[in-house]
Amino acid sequence: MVKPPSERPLEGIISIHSELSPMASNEYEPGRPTEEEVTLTRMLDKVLRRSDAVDKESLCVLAGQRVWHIRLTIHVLSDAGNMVDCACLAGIVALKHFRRPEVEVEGDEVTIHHPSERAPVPLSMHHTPFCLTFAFFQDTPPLLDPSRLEQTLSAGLLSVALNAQKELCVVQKAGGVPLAAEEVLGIMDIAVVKARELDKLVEACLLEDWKGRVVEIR
Amino acid sequence: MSSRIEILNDGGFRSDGRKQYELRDVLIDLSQQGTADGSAQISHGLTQVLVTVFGPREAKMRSHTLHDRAVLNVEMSVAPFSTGERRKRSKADRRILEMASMIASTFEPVVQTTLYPRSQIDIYVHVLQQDGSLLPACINATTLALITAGVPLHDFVCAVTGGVHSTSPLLDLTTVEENDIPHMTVAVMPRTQKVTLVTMETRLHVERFRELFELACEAGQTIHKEMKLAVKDRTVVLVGAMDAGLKGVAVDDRDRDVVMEDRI
Repeated sequence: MVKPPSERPLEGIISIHSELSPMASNEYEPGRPTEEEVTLTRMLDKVLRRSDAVDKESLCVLAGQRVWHIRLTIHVLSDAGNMVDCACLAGIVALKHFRRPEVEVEGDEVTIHHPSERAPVPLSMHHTPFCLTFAFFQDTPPLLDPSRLEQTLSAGLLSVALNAQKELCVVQKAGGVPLAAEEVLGIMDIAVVKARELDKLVEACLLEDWKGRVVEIR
Repeated sequence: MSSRIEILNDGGFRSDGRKQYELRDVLIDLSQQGTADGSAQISHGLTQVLVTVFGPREAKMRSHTLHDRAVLNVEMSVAPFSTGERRKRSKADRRILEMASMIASTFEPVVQTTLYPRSQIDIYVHVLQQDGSLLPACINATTLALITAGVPLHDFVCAVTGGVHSTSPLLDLTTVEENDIPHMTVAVMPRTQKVTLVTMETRLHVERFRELFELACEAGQTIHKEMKLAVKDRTVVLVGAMDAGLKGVAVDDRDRDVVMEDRI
């Protein structure tokens, strides 16, 4: 729990950190952030933070004085291609799974209830964006979820982040092989279907996990 | 998302008095800047960007070259006085780094890099004023600077931003509009009608996206006309100057000789 910055007194803070260690793949070296790392952090920032997935105002406890600060760290254990999608999915599932301790405000008094006293509450989420990456080649049709080899050989990548309600959050295609407009729009249609599938999968997994955590009521 | 400012009023006018699909004034200046091989200054309304191109030239760092094609090196600097709020941004700002890498990867397939193996093309982007549509301005200016530098390109790259206010699409957004409504940037290659860059950072429904995307592609063609005109005008001036120069120098020399002889 921290004091909010003066320009946004009513919003909580989410900070995202990603760690790419040489453990993930032999292509990464410690030291200066590489271009790949910049892309990853920017994409995570856009998908998880700028798309307003988490209701930041709900993280406010006392306006201008105390807000929750959520720190999300993504450790890349191993990278076999398409790390961005995987990192975004891990991030959004972590946010959905996370439970914060409940707080009570009486006047200016803030009491934080320990998880053993009161059941922690989930974060309020506006929507759940999923990131999907397509790889393009000179003369073969585009591939979804490229492996490392495919990614290295590809002539361009297109990342789309969207939720199950058919709302696009992020579209990112920087350079690479030029595409016709119809191709881009065709990709969107595929992405819509895939995002629905992912959404169902995530919901099912979270539900199953939740069943395993029986809340004891005394 | 606050809506203290009326983005589109009942009369169909935007906050700066434009219509929905109206682009801001595009001013292009292709005059020489210092020792640069090519340079272009473009302003979309109040957004102003200066791009200088050096090269193709030998790379300072031999290890950064590629044996079969030229390397594009994009460096971007944002003037601290470019926004209303004076703020010094470091060159290592992630947003700026990302924009520079986006420009580089946009132009890599467009520039015929295979003609210049083992060399480097430096593109320096200076942002002088910002009022929305920054990335499109940078991309358009880079295209023009590469053309004035005589670097062979496959095609122009013309970029434009578009946004959606409730259900009505808008083109070429200002900062005020960008802060308020979902927007995207599209860069098209007008000759092949293909899209090289699409970015969007805010939430938008797929159907709206489709509509806006098609509109932005069309707007790219309009920008292309403007850019082509500027390049043509400059070429006409250059060719004219070359002709006049050849004749003029001959006449001048003769005159000067006479004067010199008189003095002696």
